[in-house]
Amino acid sequence: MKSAHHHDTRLLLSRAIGLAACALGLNYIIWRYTSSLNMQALWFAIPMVIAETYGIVDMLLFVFMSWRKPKRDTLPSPEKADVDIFITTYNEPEELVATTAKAALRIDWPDKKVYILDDGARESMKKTAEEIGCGYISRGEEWTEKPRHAKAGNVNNALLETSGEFILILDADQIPAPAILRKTLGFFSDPALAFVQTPQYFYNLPPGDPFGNEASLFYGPIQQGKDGWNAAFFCGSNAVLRREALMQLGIREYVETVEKREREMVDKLTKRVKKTSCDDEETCAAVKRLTEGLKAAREALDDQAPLEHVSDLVIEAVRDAEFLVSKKEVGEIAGAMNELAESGDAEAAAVYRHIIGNLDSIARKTPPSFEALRDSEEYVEALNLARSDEAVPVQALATISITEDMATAMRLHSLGWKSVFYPEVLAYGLAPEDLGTSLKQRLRWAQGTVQVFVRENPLFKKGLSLPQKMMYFATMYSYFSGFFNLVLLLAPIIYFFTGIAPVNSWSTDFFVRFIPFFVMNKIMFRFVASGIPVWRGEQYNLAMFPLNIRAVLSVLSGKKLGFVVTPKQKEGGHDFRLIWPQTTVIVLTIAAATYGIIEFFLGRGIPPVGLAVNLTWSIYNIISLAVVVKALYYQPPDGWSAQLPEFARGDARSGHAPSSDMPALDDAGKPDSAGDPGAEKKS
Amino acid sequence: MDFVIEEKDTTATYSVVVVSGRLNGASAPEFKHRIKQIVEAGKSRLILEMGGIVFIDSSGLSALISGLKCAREAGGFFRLADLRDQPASVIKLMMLDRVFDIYADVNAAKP
Repeated sequence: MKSAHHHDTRLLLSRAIGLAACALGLNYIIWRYTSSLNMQALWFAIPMVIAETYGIVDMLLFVFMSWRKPKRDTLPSPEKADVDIFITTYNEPEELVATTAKAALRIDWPDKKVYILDDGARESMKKTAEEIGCGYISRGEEWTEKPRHAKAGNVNNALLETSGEFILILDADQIPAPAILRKTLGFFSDPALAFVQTPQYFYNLPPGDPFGNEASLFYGPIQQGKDGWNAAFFCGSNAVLRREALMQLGIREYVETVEKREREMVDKLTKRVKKTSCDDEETCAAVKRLTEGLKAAREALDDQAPLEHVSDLVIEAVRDAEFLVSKKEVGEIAGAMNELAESGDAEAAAVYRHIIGNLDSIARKTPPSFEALRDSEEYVEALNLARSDEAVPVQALATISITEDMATAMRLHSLGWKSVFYPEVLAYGLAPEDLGTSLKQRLRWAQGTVQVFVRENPLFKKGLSLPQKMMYFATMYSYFSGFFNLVLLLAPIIYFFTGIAPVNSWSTDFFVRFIPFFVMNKIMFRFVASGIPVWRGEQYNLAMFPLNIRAVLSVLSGKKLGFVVTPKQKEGGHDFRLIWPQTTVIVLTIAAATYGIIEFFLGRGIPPVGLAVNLTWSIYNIISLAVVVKALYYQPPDGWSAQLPEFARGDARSGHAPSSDMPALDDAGKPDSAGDPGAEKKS
Repeated sequence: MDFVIEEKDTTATYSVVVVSGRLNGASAPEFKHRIKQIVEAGKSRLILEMGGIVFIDSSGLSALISGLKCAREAGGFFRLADLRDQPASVIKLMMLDRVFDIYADVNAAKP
């Protein structure tokens, strides 16, 4: 009881601090708009105030998110429940997968089946699975030459080959604790619950977390806050899902897709038939037949008739029309034969008699050269309602984005399903161990998230509650920070070189509004984080500006995004190209500050307060950006190595942890599909 | 109740397939496999007599969709007939009545 009381008190305090931060933030930003814009330099003042507004909105969303923090106590497990455990892999070392599979077999739950979902279809992996005593699933022949949809496709394929009521999904490196099911299955006593997400925890983080991979803020206060609004995110691994919910999602999506295609097909054909000209009786009759058939199909669609029926209407019309045209064409051939026959060609006479005798059946078999129906494959596909362009018609996990998990959770929530985030660490995995790999992972999160924003914007998604919309929006919004952070980084440089400030003066008015807001914002963030280090995240938030800008632009430009193939080994050397934008800004900032200081002492430059403010600001920027420079040249201390969690150590054949240069990622969506621990941090 | 699937009454224009029991994750693979066999044997104009199906879940529905895909890709049809309450309401809930041609009984489903 005492802890519950403590929980409540802390939450109330957190809300009070949050409200105070919001009030101070609004007070500041309103003053910025109404009284302090530098009207002499609007080209600078306006981008600056917009960037500041972005930050304020980010803060408001964060406070809203942190408003609730449900206490999730484990509920008694059901007496019996079949659980399929999926371990997804593409090209990770088999030893790593085997460690996870063995740990999965030791999970404390009787009715479980463990499967390795090997998208690499490795014979040796299959053998390893047999040795360990777990199942092995790889894609069947139906996937040949069809879009594979990476990890989502891998799981969708396995869903159709298994039947357990619940599914525990684990990335290849995520070693599950024995209690993972006992602690989570109880929540499913609520029949409306679709999934329980548990944290990602990395046992290989080097001291000081140079790459900013620490995820406990995301898999802690952030997910808990989202959970408070029934909007916990599914992160692709370490989650238990209800099969029925996933399948329902797949079926809904199937119905929506085939209906949409059927409509498109009917419209397209109608348009084409309208454009077809006819100059003989039979072709005109064929066009008329098609027109009628399509009209009937359109009406049937609007009357909500079954799509099978609609398809049949179109197919019949097409067959009839084709027959009419073929008959005419075959008749013309017969006519030509007849002319030859009359001029004495005996063979032609025989052909003529044959054609006339079997006119109908020949016409049925002969494809006509009928303009209205050229390229007919396109619509045949829609007509057979089979999604022939896809390997399997029912795809439970969303495939619209390279971060399939976020889109899947959003669809589940929009259908009214509930979710739980359970904050106890129940699986232990690997984080990227060099900057290059880490950046690739971040880029994928960013691109995937922006992709969902563009393709299935939560704000317009039917079925989501307003708070749910806000929770999804907040995460997506945070990935647009690159542009605004760039403005914040360039501002002191511009000031030093030109003497132009975004505010009309560095006055007391500015400080009494800005400093309380700034300080309260930092306090609020640290209070919500409740002891979890946040500084590294704040640094990366600013330092990731080039990556976030690139992600947004690449999605908006409509470029096809691949799964970023991540190298198998730690990238040798230190590729300076990874951090050139940050380094450029650092160098420019130092140059600008030096110039500013010299000018100041020569007495021709900026006022002392302006100098002080912008120097402080510059130092903050440089320290933040320097994190990637340090990360690029980072070497773990001698003697340091990743330690497997205690419970997983016993059985590893040689008893050693996966070596520290093991790939922590792959292109089939490994830890990188695990949510966005990095981005959603306030600045 | 065990799942049973058998072929009955094949004519020139249609074949009736009778199913009974529970069509769920456990029986879906068998269902899909049998439908595929029937279609590959040249019978793609199918009427599924479902009077004996007492329960269907999402995995079962997904198997029905696979059957539909199979039959229509072969140029035929896949009609459902004689649904009990549970299958009928699940199909409606999942909006699959927008896709499947559903008939009160086998006779009504005959082309």
